[in-house]
This record gives sequence, C-alpha cells and structure tokens, in this order.
Amino acid sequence: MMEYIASVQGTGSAATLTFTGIPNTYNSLVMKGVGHTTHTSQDLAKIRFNSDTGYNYVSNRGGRDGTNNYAFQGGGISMAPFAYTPSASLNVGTMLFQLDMNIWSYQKASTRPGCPSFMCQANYRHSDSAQIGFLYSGWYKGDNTVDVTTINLIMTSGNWGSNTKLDLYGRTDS
Amino acid sequence: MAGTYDFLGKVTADGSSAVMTLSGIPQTHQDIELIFQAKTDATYGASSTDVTLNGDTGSNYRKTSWGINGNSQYGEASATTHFDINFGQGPGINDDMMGFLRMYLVNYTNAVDHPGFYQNSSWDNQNTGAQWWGGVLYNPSSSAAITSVTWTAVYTIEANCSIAAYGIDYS
Repeated sequence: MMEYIASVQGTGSAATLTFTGIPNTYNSLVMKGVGHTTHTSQDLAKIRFNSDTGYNYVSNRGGRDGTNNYAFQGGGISMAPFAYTPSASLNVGTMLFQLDMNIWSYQKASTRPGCPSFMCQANYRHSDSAQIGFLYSGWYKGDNTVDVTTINLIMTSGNWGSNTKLDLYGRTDS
Repeated sequence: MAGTYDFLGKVTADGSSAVMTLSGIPQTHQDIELIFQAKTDATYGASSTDVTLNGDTGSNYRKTSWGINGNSQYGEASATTHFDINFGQGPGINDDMMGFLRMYLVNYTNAVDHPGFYQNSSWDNQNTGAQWWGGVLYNPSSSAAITSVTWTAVYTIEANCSIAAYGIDYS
C-alpha cells in the first residue's frame, strides 16, 4: 500500500518545514506537493536528513530554464537542492512549483544498505516564456547507523509561502 | 471502486548473486509499479543493469530517456533485448548511494503492449551522479501477462537489496 504519513504547510513566516517521527518500516518514501517562496526572486529549496547540518550531502541537478540547458553537481555541501521555487510575485495558480520525490535507503545501513537518497522532478513556469524543469538527485553520507526519522525542507533565502503543502507517503514493505 | 495501490510481492538479495528475480506476480490489478533498490558491496562504481520481464530475452524492449550524468545532459533511445538501465546499480565504495529504479507499466496483465515510464538514479562515487527519466514499452511477440521481473547486474548485489511490486487499480 501507499500509506499517508504526514503533511507540512507553509505559513509565510518559516524557512524550514519538518517531517518528524517517520517510521522505518516502509520500502521507500514518496513526497508530493506544491510550494513557493516569500522571497522577492526565485529561491532554491533544499533538503536535510535528521537535521544534520554537517557537510554531508551530495547533489546532482539539471534541466532546462527557458532556452538554456543546465547540469550541476557537487559534494560536501550542508544540504541538497531539490527544487527551484517561484517568487512571491508569482505565487498563484500554476506558478507554484510541483514536486514528485522518491526517498529510499532511509533505514539504517544494517537494514537497507547504502545511504539515504532522493530523486525528484520539480517544475514551474516563471514567466510567459520561461519554464523551469529540472531533475534532482542527492544523498546523505552522514551517520548511516541510524534511521532517518526527520526530514527538513529548507528555503535558502525566503520563507515557505502559505500556499505550500507537501505530503509524505510510505510504500509498505509487506 | 476507488483507486488502490497495493503491495504485490518482494524479493530480497542474499549477497551471493548478480541476479534478482521477483516471480509469481499476481494478476490482480490493472497497472504495476516496480521499485528496484540495488548496489554492490565490491569496490566498483555504479554500473548498468538489465531489466527483463517474464525471462524474455527477445528484442521486445524499447526505451527513450533524457538524463543527466555529472555536468552534462543526454538523450537516448534503444530497442533491444532488455531495458538497459544506465547507472542502475549503485556503487560499493564505502557506503555510497543505493541505486534506485522506479518503473511503472500500464496493463501488466494479458496484453501485447505494456507501455510505461521509469526514473532511476545512482552515483559513481561521492562526486559523480546520474539520473534518468523516460518512457518504456515491453512489446512481446504475443499477448502475455507480466508475471516476473529480473534484475541482472554486472557485479554481485549486496544483501538486503530488493525488488518490490505494487499493483494499481484506478477504476
């Protein structure tokens, strides 16, 4: 089954949204939703596991922004990007970014080898002529002896706008 | 009937083989989602993996995809004897990333055309990652239900890696 775990909602005054108490019993996790920033320009949303602020994340992302192609990667960063978010002036209707993320190996390595990892698509249209469509992937190479029970979603410059809503689900493992 | 998403079965690697097969998939739903999680524990980077259905090694697999490897984008199309999943299996250097593949197939019960889509990601090491997103079509020579799926890697699959299947009904 795909079981609902929890939701987080933006308020306009918080730069971090957090899922806590995630059970370690699922095969993998799915996060879906929409979001935007209160920042006056485009913002970059990032993810952390277990609130670890160390430089323990690696990130790969790329796609198309308007007429330009991009691809980036980086290691040794303190959180991993998972979406570009539209600015406050664009936070209506389809201007919300849309997210479809898979998270796996979030159980400690003795249960599920490898490190906590994610990949997702996140897209939004930021003008009449420009659409951002990116793929993102990344993983966490911090303490791999404990389950991931907390996921932090962090806006780099602004806060999560009030129309932000992200839902977390788990794929059952039996 | 409301839409459903149900667990159908799972196979777990024992750490002794480069092949995993999930068989006996029940024909109880309309669509199927397959979740592959696999890495090696040997000191190799990520590697390509072959996915086959029903043990069929005929030229019945078509795939188109777009993806990113490091700082470059790529597009590819193939028609061959398996779904070739680039960067399918994760590396075994330290405790690096587990390779992940999600494949969704429409009409997995008795049919000639089994279209779908997939996404996968893994990393060669702590510096180079790849991810792909694309469409697939399994087109056997005659109508067939999908009852098994096989993951064939280059290197031994680490214990506790898995293939899980989920059935989806939408009407």
